[in-house]
Amino acid sequence: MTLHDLIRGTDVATRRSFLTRMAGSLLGVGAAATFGPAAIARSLYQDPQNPLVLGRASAKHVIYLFMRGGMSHLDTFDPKPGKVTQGPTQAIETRADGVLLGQYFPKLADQMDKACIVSSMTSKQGAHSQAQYLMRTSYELRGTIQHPSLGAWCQHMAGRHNQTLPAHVTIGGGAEMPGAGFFPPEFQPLPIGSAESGLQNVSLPRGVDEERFQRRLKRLSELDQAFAEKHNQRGVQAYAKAYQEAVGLMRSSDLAAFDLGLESASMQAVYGDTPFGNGCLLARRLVEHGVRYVEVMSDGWDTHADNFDRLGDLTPAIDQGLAALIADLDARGLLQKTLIVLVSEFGRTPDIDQDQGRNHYPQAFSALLAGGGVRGGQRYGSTDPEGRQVITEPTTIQDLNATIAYACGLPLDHVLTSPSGRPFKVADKGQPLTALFG
Amino acid sequence: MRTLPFTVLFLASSLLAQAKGSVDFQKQILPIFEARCVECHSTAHAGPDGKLKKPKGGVVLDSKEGITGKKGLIVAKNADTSALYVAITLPADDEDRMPPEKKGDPLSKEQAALIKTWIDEGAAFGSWTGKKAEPIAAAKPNDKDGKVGKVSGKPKVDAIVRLQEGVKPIAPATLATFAEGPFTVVSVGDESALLSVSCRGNNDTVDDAMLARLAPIASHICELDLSRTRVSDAGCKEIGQMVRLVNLDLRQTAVGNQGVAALATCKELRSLNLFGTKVGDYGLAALATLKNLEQLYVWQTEVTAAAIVRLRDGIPGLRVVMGPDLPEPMPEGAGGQRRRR
Ligand code: HEC
Repeated sequence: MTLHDLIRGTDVATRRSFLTRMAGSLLGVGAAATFGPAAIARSLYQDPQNPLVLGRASAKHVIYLFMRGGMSHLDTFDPKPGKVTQGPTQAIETRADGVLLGQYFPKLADQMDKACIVSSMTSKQGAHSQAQYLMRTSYELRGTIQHPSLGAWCQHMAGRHNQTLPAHVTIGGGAEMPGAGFFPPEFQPLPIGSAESGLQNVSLPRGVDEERFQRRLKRLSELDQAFAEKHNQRGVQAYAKAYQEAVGLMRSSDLAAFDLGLESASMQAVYGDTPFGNGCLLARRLVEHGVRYVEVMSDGWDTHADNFDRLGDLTPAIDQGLAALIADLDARGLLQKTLIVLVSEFGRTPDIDQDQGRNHYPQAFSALLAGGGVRGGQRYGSTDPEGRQVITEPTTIQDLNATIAYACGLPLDHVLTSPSGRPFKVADKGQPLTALFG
Repeated sequence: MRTLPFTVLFLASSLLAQAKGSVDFQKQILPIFEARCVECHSTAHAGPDGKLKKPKGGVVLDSKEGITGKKGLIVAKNADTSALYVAITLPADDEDRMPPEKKGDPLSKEQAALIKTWIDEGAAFGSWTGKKAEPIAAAKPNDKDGKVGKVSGKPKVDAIVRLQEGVKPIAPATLATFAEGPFTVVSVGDESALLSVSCRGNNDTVDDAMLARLAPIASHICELDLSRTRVSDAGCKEIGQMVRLVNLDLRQTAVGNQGVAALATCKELRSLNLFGTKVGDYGLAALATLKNLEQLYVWQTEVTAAAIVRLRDGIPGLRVVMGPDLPEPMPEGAGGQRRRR
């Protein structure tokens, strides 16, 4: 589906299917999330122009890097040199005194004065989708409700920095994630399938000049009005809005934010020119243009067999992309207001099985934070000498999310009520790790 | 060395270990205090509302002076008679239990045990002295080769808290005039009267002339983001009026030496982003009067290393970022996720 088809399709009979296609293709508004009966209770939601009262934000932007599948903590951020649980992985020293990393991160090691490891993450959820959901939303996956993700909360409570660009973008996957949840569809993230191809089909169709385009838009808005009057539904209004936004974006100079072709070949090489590296580079461009929340996904971390060989394949792209992102943001003066978070839904077993694999392990795992007011060069919390249990500063997934929200200045105890009348908070009962800041 | 009897060495090293203790205050104890106690037990300071915030119960836990200054709070080598340890181990429903019940769970057993060990080992602080009564900007050098310099970008809260003292909020009617754009004008947070101003994505339409619209609120602007706008040297005169400006972002604008020189009146500046501007050594020299400056970004400008050295001589603790410490590109074929072209 291209914008060309969409605009040509203005006189297609079924408005609903048109709108669905349009919004689905342009702004990532999933049909299912939209016409569900729950999406309608307007009164709950504040005008995004009037954001809630906020605390002081040290992070104006968040870049959330998600390692899907469960990243081994022992081989990456919480090595235990000399212990049997370590297997063949070596530990390396970093720019931060006393903070060791697994051997796979030599480039990140040079940036560790700017980053912090939380090595005391702990949870009870060891199933992939449930844990990924919990990580995004702070709530357990339930059949009856879709919780909003942290990016949607950010947009909801703090609004947009840039009125033309979406507040929340996901790169390289994550469409199955909750997104707007029970918030209205305008809080759904814009999904970018792959960073290299950027945003598709946002120029005028060939043979349609500006005047003709204007005529079509006018016709469209008349149709819209009639339709909205007849079916005065929240979902319809959201689509009308989505369409206006799409047109606004199409005409904006900010569109350049999505175009990696504007980066030099050497800059792309520094980020690694991998799907993940390009995702990081695109995330940097989006942040430069004022996007608030960007998620980049890296897949393939479910290393049940051949853990060590697999890590050898998976990690270079992450090491390169993340090191480049930290250094580049810092040099542009953006690291001080951009919080980088790298997480995975859980860790992997300290015990190595007969397939040289490690299995799901939520009891103890690690996260990395950098920028956005977080003090670099530190390790927060600890696990026992074999990496089996958290021994100091146990940090739940909700605590981590509360920390991100705290950095963004979001009110942690502000309650929003779902359309079904139940109360929710941005990070549930999570407590922020305020000791990381300053 | 070799002639030294083994026992002497052994003795010396075990004494040293004892003096140092196995618990490191700064790494293990301080984070607990910071996370659970200092919200109520910090050195007297101006709160977000500008009012003086005193430590609760006269107990100060964010400085060595405070912790050692209160009698009975810590009795070295005797945790059980130290008021601090007693307070954290009281039953959850005891109203003297710390942190108070309404502030959540008691400290964990592990945390309490750590604090006990630390006190029983002599309650040493290492080199830590903690907060001074008078807030001073922390020096954060970033030595490229050394391991010093923990990088932090926390907006200088102390500076903002001090700057907003006695400042009356801008009248709502005046603020309402900004509703039409192109600027977004909001509080810097915590309902402060000081303001944060950005361009909500209208960056490519904001030019020097538009900055005049900020004149009625100039004295209240604390953060100003004009990145990627059409602002140039002429507009910097307006910025020079902003006496409470702490954080200024001019990255990727046409601002040059003249404009930067006009910022010399913004004495409260802590962070100045000149990445990708036209500034050179002449403009940089004019910044020597900004004694509070902590972060300065000059990548992709004409500024030379010599000018930076001169500026840093005059402003101790200033971190100047001249360019990225970028990683070497990956070798061809490394990593299974590498994309083939
Ligand atoms: C929500 C605010 C709050 C927090 C958080 C808090 N305290 Fe207190 N604390 C108080 C107040 C209020 C008093 C004074 C009580 C009184 O005078 O009766 C006090 C008094 C004390 C005292 C003196 C008790 C005495 O015997 O006189 C100690 C010791 C103490 N706190 C330690 C701590 C420690 C250690 C922590 C963190 C683990 C902590 N507090 C966290 C509010 C707090």
